[in-house]
Amino acid sequence: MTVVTSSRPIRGSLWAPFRRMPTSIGLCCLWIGIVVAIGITARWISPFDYLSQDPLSRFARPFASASHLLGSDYLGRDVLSNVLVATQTTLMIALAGSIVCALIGITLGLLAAHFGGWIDNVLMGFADSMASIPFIIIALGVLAIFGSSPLLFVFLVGFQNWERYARLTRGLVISALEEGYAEAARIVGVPPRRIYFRHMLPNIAGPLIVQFTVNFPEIILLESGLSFLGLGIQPPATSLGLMVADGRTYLAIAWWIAAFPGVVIVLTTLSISLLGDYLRDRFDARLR
Amino acid sequence: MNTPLFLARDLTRAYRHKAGFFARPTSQLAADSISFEFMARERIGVVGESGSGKSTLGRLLLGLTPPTRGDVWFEGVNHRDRSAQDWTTFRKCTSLVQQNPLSALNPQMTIGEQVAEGILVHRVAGRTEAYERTAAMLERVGLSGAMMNRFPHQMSGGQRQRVVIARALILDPKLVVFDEAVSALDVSVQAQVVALLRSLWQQLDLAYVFITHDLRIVRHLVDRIVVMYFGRIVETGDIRAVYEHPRHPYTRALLASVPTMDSSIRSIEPPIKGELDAGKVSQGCAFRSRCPFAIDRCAVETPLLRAFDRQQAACHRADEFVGPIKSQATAPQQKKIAR
Repeated sequence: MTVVTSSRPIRGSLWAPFRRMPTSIGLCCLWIGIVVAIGITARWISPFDYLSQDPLSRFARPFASASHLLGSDYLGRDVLSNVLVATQTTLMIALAGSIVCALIGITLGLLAAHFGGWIDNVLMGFADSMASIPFIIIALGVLAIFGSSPLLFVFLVGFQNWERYARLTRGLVISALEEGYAEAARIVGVPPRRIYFRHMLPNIAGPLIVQFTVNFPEIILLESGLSFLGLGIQPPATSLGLMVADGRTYLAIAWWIAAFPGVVIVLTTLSISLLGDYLRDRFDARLR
Repeated sequence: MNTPLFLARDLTRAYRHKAGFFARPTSQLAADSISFEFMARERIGVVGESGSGKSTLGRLLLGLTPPTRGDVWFEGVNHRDRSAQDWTTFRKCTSLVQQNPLSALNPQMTIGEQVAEGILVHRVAGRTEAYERTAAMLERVGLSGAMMNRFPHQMSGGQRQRVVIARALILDPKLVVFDEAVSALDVSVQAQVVALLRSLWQQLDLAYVFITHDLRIVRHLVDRIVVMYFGRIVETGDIRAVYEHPRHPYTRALLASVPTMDSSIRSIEPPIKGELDAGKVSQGCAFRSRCPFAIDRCAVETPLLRAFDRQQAACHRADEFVGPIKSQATAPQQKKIAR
């Protein structure tokens, strides 16, 4: 007889929320798509080298000339090119940070749920203490002591809010372990790793994906904040936060230097947050 | 001549509760000094009310919960001495059918994937053969092989329970524990599943433990019955003997509470009241506070299982209970003998 194994059901259930979504969410997705495209192609599509200075066309107003579409800054650097490259940097950091954060949090949450007992207590106690201190203070301290290197910076922003993933994962895994299917798999003799990844992960992926979309903009904001304070990305590299910090001095005479990167930050974080919110509602509705 | 399939000695499981971080832990016995054995192809029923420890017993046998004290041997090997490899072998030849078929199945996996998983994990056969055997097993439990590609939510309760049974039987186990396997189903589906179990037992080389609170169903499915109260076996023996001549007041009350349509066999057994109150009993018979026949001795001395003709009962007055619970039943005070 013929045996047809089905396509992975997880795929169907993950794409379902995107069908018949409201216009606002469509716009969010569109903007996220644009930002991702910029992130990939920034170096090729930017009209100027983002560092090339042109003292003769300092403070060019935006939308006035074709050469500097978004104007130029106090050194005559093209704002558009800078925004594109800065978006790329910020996006890379946020993406890497989010993944680091998810990995740390999910791993520790899984360990806490799997072993329970004192391991659980220690990990959750650690999570609680992390949650009780504003992370920006920890981040400032670490950067002040060790200085800012890109690798350290990525791990540092990734360390923000890992405890949310850990708590979420722990709760989901504990309740999934109570479910009959996990026990049934154990009785059949399925090894624990296969139970966690094959049986449990598809069932708990929804909330974790939503957590990812919540965490991502927070990391963008943290990166921007730290760069703004001068402890994040160091010139000549650029990031959205750094651009805002740079443009702040000239806000009275050249608003566009700070405004355009600011708009990108706002729109991107807003889009991802709204999308996450929407996804959470949809996943919840599916569970009810 | 032959070693028993399962042998349990002095099996005890305590659950510790801690109300808060600084609270003193209290422990409660879910299974207390349980000893029994059974052979291959034997069918055993375990009955008792909620909290009597019957599910715990099933889990102890399967090694899902480690015992606080006591030992379980499966085919002569103690659970405590098993290596990881041994456990895998053990898992291969035992299985459990859980109470709620909806939560027992993974909503994100197809029926076929879930039933075939045992074969794939233990590398009994290749992928193609695994799915062929899955289809055959599904047909054996009265489903069509084409249902393999369905998801659990696309099936009815009865169908799901059949899938769970198919999954439990796919590796030709020597023992299956049915933990309230039909309690969640409605009566007509229960009857189907009972009929299915009877025919499967005849076809397969299988022993099973059927845990339930439903005394009517268990009668059709088992050879021997174990009645549990507060973690202890209060009565055990041949199903006919126990049903016809229950020796323990708790068994008598349980049997008397089974509804019947025949008014001529109404029981005059005094009904027991209240529910199982955990944690109070330290010595003596756990049932005495609810027992209409309790005497002073019951408060002092914990009754042990005593052998009678084809059954054992743990009651100080067990020999005073004679005859069936039907009609003119014999409360010991009356010193009457049943007709």
